Amino acid sequence: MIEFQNVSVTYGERIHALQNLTLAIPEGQFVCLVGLTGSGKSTILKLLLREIRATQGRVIVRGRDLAAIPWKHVPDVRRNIGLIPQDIGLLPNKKVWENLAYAMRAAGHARREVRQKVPEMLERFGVLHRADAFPAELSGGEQQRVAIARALINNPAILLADEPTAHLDPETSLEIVGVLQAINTRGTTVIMATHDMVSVSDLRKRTVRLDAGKVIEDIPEEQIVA
Amino acid sequence: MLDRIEFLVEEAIVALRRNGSMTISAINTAALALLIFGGLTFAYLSLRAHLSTLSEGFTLTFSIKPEAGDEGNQKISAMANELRQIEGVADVVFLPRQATWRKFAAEMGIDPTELPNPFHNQFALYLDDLSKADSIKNAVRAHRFFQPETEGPDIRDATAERRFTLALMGFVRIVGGLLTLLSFVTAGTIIYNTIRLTIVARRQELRTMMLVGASHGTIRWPLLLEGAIQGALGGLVAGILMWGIYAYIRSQTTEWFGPLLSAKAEFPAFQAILMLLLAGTVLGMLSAGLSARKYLRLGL
Repeated sequence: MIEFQNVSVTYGERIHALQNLTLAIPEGQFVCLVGLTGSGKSTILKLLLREIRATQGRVIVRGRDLAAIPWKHVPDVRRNIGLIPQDIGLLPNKKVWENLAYAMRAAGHARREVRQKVPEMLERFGVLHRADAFPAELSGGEQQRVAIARALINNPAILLADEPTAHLDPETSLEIVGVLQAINTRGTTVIMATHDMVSVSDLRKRTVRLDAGKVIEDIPEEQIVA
Repeated sequence: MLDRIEFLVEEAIVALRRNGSMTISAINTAALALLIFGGLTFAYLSLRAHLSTLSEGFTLTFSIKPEAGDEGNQKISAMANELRQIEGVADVVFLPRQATWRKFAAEMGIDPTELPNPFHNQFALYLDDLSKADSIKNAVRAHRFFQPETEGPDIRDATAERRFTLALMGFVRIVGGLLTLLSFVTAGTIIYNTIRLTIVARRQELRTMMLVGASHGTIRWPLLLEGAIQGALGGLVAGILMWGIYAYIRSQTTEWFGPLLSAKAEFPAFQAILMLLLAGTVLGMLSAGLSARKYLRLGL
């Protein structure tokens, strides 16, 4: 369970990224965070990764108050959360398999585990045949699949996707959303920040609409189906 | 564990290669700083060693004429008694020329049998009152067996030499300390900036590391290692340079002035290189640590 309890985030004195936000996300749920740029979507993701701290209120992930976690244990929190960054963030000078291997090695996995898991992940996301390609040689969809594979390399319980369809054509966007959905069906909580309303309406998952750092609409999955 | 170390070292080497010219600048500056540090430390230690060879307390040493004879001769005993009568003299010791020559040859690392003994028999006078030094010197000069030296002072005054050596050591300590500090700050700043450059150049890798939950140590250590390697390489270069420079000075002074006046001390190559390597590693790691502390953002 992820809980935001009256969370406010203020940058400086004037910018209120989040204002008294209260939100509960049960384990295994797929949630779409929608809203305009500056509505607070990315701030929510940053809070979950402990890249920033709430100015006010509490963020609780699986029973632990993130603000109370000592700095040296923050990496443990991050190992339980996978992130697909908005810019995809693949290392341009490393091949596809090296990108995954690098993430695994950085997270403390041994070479033996890397050799075993990287091909498995690439195959699972349909990019094994591009293992030796550099990111620039991949299509947008393939790059996104590699980024997803990398985000899931540590088997996190939560997957955060920051605008995963931002630079993709509609067809590829649907394909990537399908991949995220498949991940969710395996039990991973998925939080997708997006302003791609086409993908959101096709998904028919819980949708939280944000505006100026406030939740203005929270539509449960059941109502969308109905 | 080895896997972990291998990853950290690989990361540091990637950064060293990527920074290319900055890495070379950092190593060169560290080498220069450590060369100054090492050179001055060696000079200081040599002066200290020289000081320890000088007699303790207030001592005057002078040569006596060959006609006074050798040890055990009555003339020598009489002269010793006469010297003891001079006001301000606490003790008198006879220094036979053979013993002086053997000691000198051993210090110089030469074979005493290969060269003629250039020394006369000598007397060493131990003074109990430094203010009487001049009158004692005059009394000694007036003695019939006093042998004036052809070069240098006619009476060697260890007190003056000690004073001069101590003053020189103080100068080396202060000026050398300041120079070392200045050059360390310069080298440290260059390493600091190289690490800053690494953090900027590798921001994507560092972000990937952070996002996949790499420990703070895993992210930070390659930066510290990069600084340590730069410092250590600087230390190695400085050590080898110092060794080479000293060997050159030694060979040149031997060529110009002969073995007796050449640079005397043996260069402790292994200890010097090890010390400079360690000092460089500490300097590099410290500078890198400061830079990482300031520019590496690992979240709150």
